[in-house]
Amino acid sequence: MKFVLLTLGLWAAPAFAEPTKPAPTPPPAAKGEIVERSRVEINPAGHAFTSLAVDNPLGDVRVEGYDGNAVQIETRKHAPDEDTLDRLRVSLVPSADGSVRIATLVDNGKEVKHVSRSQVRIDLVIRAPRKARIDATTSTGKLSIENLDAGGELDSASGSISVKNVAGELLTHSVSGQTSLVQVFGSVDAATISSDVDLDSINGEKLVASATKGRIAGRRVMSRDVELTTTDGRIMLESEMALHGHLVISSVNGDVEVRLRRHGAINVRARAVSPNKVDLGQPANLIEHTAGWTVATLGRSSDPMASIELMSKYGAVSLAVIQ
Amino acid sequence: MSATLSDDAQLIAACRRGEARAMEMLYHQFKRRVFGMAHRIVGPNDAEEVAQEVFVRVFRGLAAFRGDSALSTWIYRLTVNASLSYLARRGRRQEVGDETLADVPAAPEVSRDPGLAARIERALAELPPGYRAILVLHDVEGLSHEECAAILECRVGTCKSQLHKARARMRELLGPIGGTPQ
Amino acid sequence: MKCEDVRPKLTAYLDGELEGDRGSAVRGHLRGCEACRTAANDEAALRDGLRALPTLDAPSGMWAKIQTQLADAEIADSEKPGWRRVLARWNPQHWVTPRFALASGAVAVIFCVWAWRFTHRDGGAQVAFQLPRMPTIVTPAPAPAPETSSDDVAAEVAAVPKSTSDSYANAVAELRQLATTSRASWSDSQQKQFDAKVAELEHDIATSEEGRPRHKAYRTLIRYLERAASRDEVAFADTRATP
Repeated sequence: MKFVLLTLGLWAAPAFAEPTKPAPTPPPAAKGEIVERSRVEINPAGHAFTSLAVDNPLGDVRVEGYDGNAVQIETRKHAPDEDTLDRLRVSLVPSADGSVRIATLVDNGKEVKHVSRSQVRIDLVIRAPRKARIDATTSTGKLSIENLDAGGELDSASGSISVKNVAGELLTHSVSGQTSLVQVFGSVDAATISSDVDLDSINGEKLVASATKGRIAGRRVMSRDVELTTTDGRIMLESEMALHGHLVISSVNGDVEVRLRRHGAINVRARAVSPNKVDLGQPANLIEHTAGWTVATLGRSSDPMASIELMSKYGAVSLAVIQ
Repeated sequence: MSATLSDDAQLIAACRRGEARAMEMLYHQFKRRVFGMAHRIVGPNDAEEVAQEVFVRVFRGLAAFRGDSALSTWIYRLTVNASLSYLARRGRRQEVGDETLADVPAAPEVSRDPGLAARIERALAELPPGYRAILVLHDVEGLSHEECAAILECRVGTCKSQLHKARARMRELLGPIGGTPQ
Repeated sequence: MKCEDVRPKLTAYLDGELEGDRGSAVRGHLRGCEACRTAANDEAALRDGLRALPTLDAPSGMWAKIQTQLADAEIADSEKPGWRRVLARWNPQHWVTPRFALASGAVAVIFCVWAWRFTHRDGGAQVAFQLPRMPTIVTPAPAPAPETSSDDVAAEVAAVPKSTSDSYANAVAELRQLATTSRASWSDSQQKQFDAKVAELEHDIATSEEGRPRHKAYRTLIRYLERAASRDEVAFADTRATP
C-alpha cells in the first residue's frame, strides 16, 4: 500500500509542477542602496538602425543582437539615495542617418550632495538589430556583445571585453581588461596593455592581436593573415593555415608556441634567445641556420607558399606542424 | 568551445523557464552551424525547413536534456539526425545546379577558389548521406574526431575510418583537384 | 612501408594523429613514392577546399518561423486531454525495472483520472515568447555639468579619459626603453627611420584632443614600439598600418 501511495505521489508531482515563468529578479541591492530599473524602446523612423554608439563610464554594457528593428534598452541604476538616483541619467539620441547614441552621465544640479564613484552605478542591457554596427565604451564596467553581424569597435579601460558570435570587422582595445573573442567571422584587431587576450574560433582575412604585458592564447584560428605580439606574456596559438596565409608571432620576453594544421608548402623562419631554444619539430637535415635565424621549408619552394615567422627575443620558440 | 559549463547551464535553465531572450540567444549561438550542416546535408531547398525542425526539437526537448553531453554536441546530433531522416523520408538526392548555388547567402569571407568550391559542393551533394554527414562535421565545420564521434554516437575509430572512406569517395567524384605534388 | 600500408593511414597522418615513428615512417614513404604523394596532396587539397567553403548564414526570418511553430505546438499541447499531456512528460527510459513498471502501470489508471481534473484548472497554453510591450520614452540630454569639487562622481568620471591616457603614457615609456635596447643593434639609417617615426607619432599624441583621439594616437605608437621591440625590423614594423 505504501509503495502504491508513494508511486501515486511521484506520479502526482508533475501535475502540480507546471512550468511557470518567474518575473526576472533584480540583483540584490546593497544595504542602504536604491536600485531602479527601467526599459525603453526606440523604433526607427525611416530606415532601419545601422549603428549604435554606447558610452557608459558608470557600469556594464551588454549588447545582444536580435531579429527586430527596435533598439530596446534596459537600465539598472544603483545609488545610495533618491537625490543621487535622480542625478543618474541615460541619454538616447537617435539620428536620421540610422545611428543611435546612448550615453550615461551624472547630472550636476545647483547643490549636490557629493558621492563617490563607487557608490553609483548604471548598467545597460541593450537589444539591437543584428545588422547594427556597435561602438561601445566602458571604463571599469564589463563590455560584452553577442550575436551581431556588423562588427564594431569596443573600448574599455579596465573592464573586461567579451565578444561571442559576431560577424564583421571588429576592433577591441583595453588597458587592463581581459579580452575574450569567441566565434568571430571577420577581420579582428584586439589590443590590451596589461591583460590577456583569449581567442577561439576566429575566421576572416586578418587577425591582429597584441598584449603588451599579457598573454595571448588562440585556438581554432583560421584567419588568413595572423599577427600576434606581446612584450612579456606567452603566446600560444593553435591555427589552421590557409594555402597563402601569413603568420607573424613575436614576443620580447615570452615563449612562443604554435601548433599548426597546414596544407601545401610553407616557409618557416624562427628566432629565439638562442638557436637551441628553437624547436620546429623537424628532423635536423631539413633545417638551416642563417644569420641567427632557424629556417625550414616544408614542401617544394616553387609552390605557392604560406609563410610563418616566429620570434622571441628572450624566450623559446616551438612549432608543431600537423600536416 | 570555450563557453564555460556554467554559461551553458545558465542558458539552458533560462530557456527551460521559457525566457524569450535566452531562447533567442541560444538560437543565435547555434543558427549558423545548424543551418550550415542542414544545408550541406539536405541541400539548399530544404535546409531552412530542417533547421527550423531542429530548433523546435531543441526547445521542446530541453526539458529532457540531462547534460550527459555538451549542449553543442546534443544540438548537432539533433541536426544530423533530422537531416538524415529528412533525406530518408524524401528519398531523393539533392540537386545542386549553378542557379541554386547562386542563392546561397553571402558569407563574410570570399572563397579563395570559387571554381573549386562549386565543384566540391556539387560532389558533396552526390555523396551517400552518411559520408556527407561526417565530412560536413569534421572537414567543413572543423569539429574534432571526438566531437564527431559523440555527435554520431559511434566510436572514434569508426568515425575516422568513415571519414577516410568519405574523402576517398569525394576524390573519386572530384577527379584531380590541382594541388602540385610536394 | 608499402603503398597499401600507407594509403589507409593517410587520413590519420594528415589529421596529425600519427605521432613519432609512425608519422615519420609515412613521411619517409611519401618522400620516395610519387603515387602516394599525389594521393596525400589530393586529400590535403580536398581538406583545404572543404575547410574553405563559405560560412552560411541562416535566413533572417527563420527565428520568427521557429517561434510560430513552437507556439503552435504549445497550443496543440494544451488542446490534448490533460492526462495525455502528463503522460507525455515521462520518458519511458526512466522505468528501470519491470516490477516498477508493472506497479506504476497499475497506478497509472487511477492517476490519469486524478491528473485530468487538476490540469484542466490551469486555463490553457502558456505562450512564452511574447516580448513585453515597452513604453517609448526618450530621456532628454541633461545640461552640461559645471565644475565641482574633486570628491564627486561627476568629477571622477570626467577624469577617466586623462587617467587612461596616463596608463598609455606609462606603457609607452616602458616600451621605449625596450625599443632603445633593440635600437642599439640597428643600422644608422634604421635608427633614423625609427626616431623619425616615433617623433611623428608622439607629435600626433600631443596635438590630439584628450579622450578617444588621444587614446587612439597612443595605441598607434604602442603598436609601433611593440613591433620594433619584438622584431628588430623597423622597416617591417613601419609597413603594417594600425587602425
